[in-house]
Amino acid sequence: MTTRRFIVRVVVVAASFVVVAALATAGLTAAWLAGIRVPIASGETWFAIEKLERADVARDPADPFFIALIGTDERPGVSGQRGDALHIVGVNPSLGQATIVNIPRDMCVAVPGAGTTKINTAHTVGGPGLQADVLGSLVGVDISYAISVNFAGFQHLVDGVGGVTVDVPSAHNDPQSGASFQPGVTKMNGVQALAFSRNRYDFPSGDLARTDNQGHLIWSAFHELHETANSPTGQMRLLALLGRHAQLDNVGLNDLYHLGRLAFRMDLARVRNVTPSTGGGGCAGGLSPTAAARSLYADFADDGVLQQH
Amino acid sequence: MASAVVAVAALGACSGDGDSEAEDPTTTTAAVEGVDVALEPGAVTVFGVADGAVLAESAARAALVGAERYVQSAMVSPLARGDVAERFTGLFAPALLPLVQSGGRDHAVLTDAGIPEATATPSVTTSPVAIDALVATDGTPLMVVTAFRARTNAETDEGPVSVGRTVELTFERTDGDWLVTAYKISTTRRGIDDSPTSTTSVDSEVDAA
Repeated sequence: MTTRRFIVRVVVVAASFVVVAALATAGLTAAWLAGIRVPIASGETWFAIEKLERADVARDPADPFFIALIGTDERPGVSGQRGDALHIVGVNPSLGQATIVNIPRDMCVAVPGAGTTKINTAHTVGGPGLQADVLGSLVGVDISYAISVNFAGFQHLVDGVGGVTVDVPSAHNDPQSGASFQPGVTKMNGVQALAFSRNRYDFPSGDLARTDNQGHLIWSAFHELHETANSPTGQMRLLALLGRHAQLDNVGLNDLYHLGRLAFRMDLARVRNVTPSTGGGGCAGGLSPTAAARSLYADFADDGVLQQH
Repeated sequence: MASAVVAVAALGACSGDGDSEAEDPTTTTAAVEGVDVALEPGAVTVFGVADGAVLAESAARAALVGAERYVQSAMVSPLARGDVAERFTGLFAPALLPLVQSGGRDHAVLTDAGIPEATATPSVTTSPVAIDALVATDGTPLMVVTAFRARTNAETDEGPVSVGRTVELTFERTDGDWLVTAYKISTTRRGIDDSPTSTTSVDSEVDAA
């Protein structure tokens, strides 16, 4: 972690579009020097958003960019903060399209400092920044933003935006996660949304189905925000929520506002949620991408949109 | 969440609680060259990162004046004197100028450049300007969004023309000035080029990614 990033941690948030996240902070003066325009957020921190150093590279505004969404398993009684829900969102402003690519937590990759191991280890080793870097390396993209949230933060966030409406694709009945849903449109509160996101025992494909459900929930939340926050009042309300409950690193509320506007211009019918196929191997108990998955990664990496898949 | 909705006849420091929408009557302003359009403030909604958020009067007024400048330059001047008063420098953020100035991608939607000049005094009808704002913990206004409708009607040598716009302008403090950093504008024209009605829209902002 760089000195700047270390010092800069302030607060804010942006849960626009795929939005959920935040960062840590530590110095008002340095924050101002770094250009962050929101001095201090108030309230309990629910999530963190970090603008990664690679995002500062000059780019054309029409160029695609990529966001890592990270759900950690941090909760009372569990330490380590592994990145157990991993998603990359590609946003293509010029095409008005976005794609959510879901990555299973058991994917085997090279994690700096940990060797070849499950991809969720990266968060334990180096926090959201390293997790985002490793995700980007797997798929072949440079990730600009990392948004991370733990169990409690996720619940608060969903409740904070008034819940999320999900078209549940199949029945859930899993005592372990607490997921109990019938197929069909369901309005979920934070507890229910977390259970829906954690359930893997109801499906033959286990973690792969869980990962896909997480992407489906993100997609649903984006659609819902498109309805509820697509006005100046709705956007200011959302930004204030973020400002109170997100920890921001190297990014300000103003930046998030403009990112959110981009998100609201996405063609909802062309926001896709995909979970590439996996095979076994790579590391103990782990998964590896199939040839089809690698082909999908390449299709996604060039412009954030899938043309061939 | 700290929010305030206040319908104001004259701008002052704005604060309060609630989510009600203000009434939205229209007002009419006679527009002649040399006389600025005067927009009326409508509901002012303030959201704060902390409780008790208050929007400084200066910020609200700067946004309102900016909105007036936009209407005057983009809508009134073309009718009154045949061209757009290029007062966009100092109104739009530098990063947006290539889009909004003559030849820019959004120029034709943002302005009425090229429509026939009015043969009599045109009129401008506007709605009150709804103002939404976000205020930081220390009271610093972070952004102010103005939303309103405006319509011009005029007689020209080519017949009556009417242009209506739905306008959202986002103002942020940039190098000491409140400048437009994002806009969302929809324009409907009637009586121009023999086309009964045409509607075009733009939605642009400075790049943050």
